[in-house]
Amino acid sequence: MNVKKLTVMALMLSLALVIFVAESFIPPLVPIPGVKLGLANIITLIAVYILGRKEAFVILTLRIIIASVFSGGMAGFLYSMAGGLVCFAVTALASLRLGENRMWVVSVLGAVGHNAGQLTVACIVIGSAYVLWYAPFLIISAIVTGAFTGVAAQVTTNRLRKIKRT
Amino acid sequence: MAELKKNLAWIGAFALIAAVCAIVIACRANTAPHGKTAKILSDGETVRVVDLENVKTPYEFTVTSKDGGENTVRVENGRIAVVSADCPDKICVKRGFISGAQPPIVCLPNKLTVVVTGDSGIDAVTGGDAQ
Repeated sequence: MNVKKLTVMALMLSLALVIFVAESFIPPLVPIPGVKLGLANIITLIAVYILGRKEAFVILTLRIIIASVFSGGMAGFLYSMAGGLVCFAVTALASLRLGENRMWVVSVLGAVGHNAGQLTVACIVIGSAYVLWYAPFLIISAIVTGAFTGVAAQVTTNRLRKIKRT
Repeated sequence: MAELKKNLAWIGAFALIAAVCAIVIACRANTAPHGKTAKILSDGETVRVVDLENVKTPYEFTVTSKDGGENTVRVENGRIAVVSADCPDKICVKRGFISGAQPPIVCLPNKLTVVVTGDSGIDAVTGGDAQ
């Protein structure tokens, strides 16, 4: 691994952490557990397309581990890890078929995967299937927030490519 | 143009999925029975069943989870809410009162679920035969 790539990865990791901390100051908008913007996923998406899947995976797992140290709580870590891993699996698979012009689609699919992973953990942790009531709410929220973060990632990636060329 | 078409196709697909979800939510809201009892689950086990009918004086009680997390539940006539919690996000408190047709109140950090069920306290026992 060359130094330049390592530096870019470190930069992206710190960016993702800053975004995560900044987002944690936004109070929950809807009283449904699991609904959030997921702005830090913008970085994961950009990393998948600019650096590659392997690098993006490293950035994501490190972000989740360090972010859970910031926010504290083992329970939170379980949810983020489950959500993050399912989200990444979906994102990685979708990015094989969908190019940079369809990053927002990849983002929506990943967001739905994220919520599916969290819901599964919630069912196991809470020990009852009542949480599944939230599934339709979470799918709608994932489509909206996923599209938002996806468009943000897509625009940023386009700009980055232009900078790289000049 | 091909770009636009592809994007529109995806937007259409996602809109369709969202619409299906909205219909599911609406259907559940309509078919859910008007709540008569509420079940309080901690760590997946029912710790308390309260009657929501004819509550003359509202009352509160505290549910303590196995890990020591505390939620205070308030019962009023026909409705129930979590009024205070020691979890960081307070999502359960922000939900306010529920009275039946809404999804259950969930506090993920304290593993607490409050769900309103259709059957009354007595019917709950023989509920299966009543149909």
